[in-house]
Amino acid sequence: MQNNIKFLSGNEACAEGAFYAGALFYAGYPITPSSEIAQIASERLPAIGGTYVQMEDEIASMAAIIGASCCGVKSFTATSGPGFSLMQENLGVAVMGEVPCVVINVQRSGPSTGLATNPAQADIMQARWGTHGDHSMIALTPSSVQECYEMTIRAFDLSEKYRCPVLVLTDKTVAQMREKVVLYEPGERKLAERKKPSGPAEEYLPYRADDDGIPPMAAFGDKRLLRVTSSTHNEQGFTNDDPGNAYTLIRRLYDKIEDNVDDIAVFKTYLMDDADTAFIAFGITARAALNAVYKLREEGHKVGLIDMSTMWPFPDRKLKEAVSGCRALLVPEMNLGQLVREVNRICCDKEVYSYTKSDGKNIFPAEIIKAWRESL
Amino acid sequence: MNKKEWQVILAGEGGQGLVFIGALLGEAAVADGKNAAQSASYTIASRGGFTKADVVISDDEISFPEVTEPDAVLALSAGSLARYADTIGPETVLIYDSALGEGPSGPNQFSVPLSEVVKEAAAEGRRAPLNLVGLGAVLGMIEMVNWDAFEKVLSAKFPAPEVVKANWDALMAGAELVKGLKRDS
Repeated sequence: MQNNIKFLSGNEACAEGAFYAGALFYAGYPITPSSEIAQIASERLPAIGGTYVQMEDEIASMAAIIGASCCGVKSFTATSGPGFSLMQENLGVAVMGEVPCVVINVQRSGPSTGLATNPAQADIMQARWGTHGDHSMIALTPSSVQECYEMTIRAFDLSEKYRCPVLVLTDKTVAQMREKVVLYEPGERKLAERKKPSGPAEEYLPYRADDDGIPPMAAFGDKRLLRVTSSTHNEQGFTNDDPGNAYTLIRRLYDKIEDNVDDIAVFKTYLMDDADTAFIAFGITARAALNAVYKLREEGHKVGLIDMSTMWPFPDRKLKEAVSGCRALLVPEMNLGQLVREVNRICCDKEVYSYTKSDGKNIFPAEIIKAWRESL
Repeated sequence: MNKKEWQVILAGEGGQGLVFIGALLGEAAVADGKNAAQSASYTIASRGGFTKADVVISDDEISFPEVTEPDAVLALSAGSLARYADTIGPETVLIYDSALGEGPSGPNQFSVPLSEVVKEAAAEGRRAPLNLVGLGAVLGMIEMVNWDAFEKVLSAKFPAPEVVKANWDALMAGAELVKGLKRDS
């Protein structure tokens, strides 16, 4: 094998992606089925001058990566359902303080500790709405080990570019399966870095946004003063209760992501050119759906697949366009119907069918084919 | 080896090293220039509890990484033997450890003395891991990946030459056990 071709698990590929992106800080609390990421970070980061901290829980893990990122270091953590629930409060801190960081959530069967070693895809609404208050969120959903690698790198790029937390939502199967991965050579792929402030230090306002809605970010310890508060604040970073200021801030935090949905939200299409039915899926279920598409195509049926790749912000316009030629849409997912709500919201002029499964087992291609036949 | 895709289930209990041999098979396939996917199912117990590794090997893109139509099943525990004995088709090769007692005996179902190899090695002061012997038997029956690739991958995985040799010997011993047994395809 060439040196850059590896046979890795999704978790290993996420860790490799983080290291390629330049991450030098990991704080976490190991939890199945994400623990390999913590393990690898604990081995690799100290060896490259980075830091691994085993925290007391996931609340502290999230707090630690926010603090490290404020010091100018690309930071990440990984967890699964119960830990992701604990991270929600400080995820909001990262939104409010506009702190770039990456959280990898390996979805497992819930609620609560649920079936710890079994897959699910039931955290996508929690990812979007789990932390309170008006906000947007970026969440990527890889469906292969190669994508675990590439999307983790992209997660860091997006978090640096838009100054916000970015979620990588894998699932137990994608995270722990092994596949062939081609890794980038050093320097082969361009990486995004957060905007640094310029001009006189005394004139720096940590939350004065440029025209793109994103303020340049100083680091703790720089000569420019970075203030971070989770409360509603003005451009100086001081708490402020003026309603006009509050609306401007909330609007900007939301719009800097939603106005750039076309840049952020990409999805993959398979055999959609002449499709009269589209399967819309993500993660491991997109793999089952792709297999089902190939089998149904062999029988001459015009079906195609949209692998969501990005769950949030939801690509309303582009998805509507992609399925414009379809009569029917089938949404298979390993939950009781979360993605189908979004599909229904924007494609209400189509026949939308839902196939759900929530028992800790993957959806198999044959189930999707059966659901497709029954929906005809 | 005209077939384009192979699907294998390696089943038993937690702690038997099933994910290890699944990953080894997959990695060897990739080293052999093929595509491979290996997935696993296990319980919350670190020892015991039904565990399996699925391996799909293909010359083409692998759309779904889990096994749907197994070409071969290796069963290293009574529980896994019971689970697959009645559910797999007659074309699927089933190899199980004869130490598990009496089991199915169809034209593609083989009771193989895998544990005997482990015991014999131990009596001579050597180590022959049961999982590697089992994988060797599967590969002896269906050569889906070139043997050279295993040698390469084992050498890259283990720095100590004696560990590479122990694993290689176990694979070979497993393959030797099924020499003469014929797959009915």
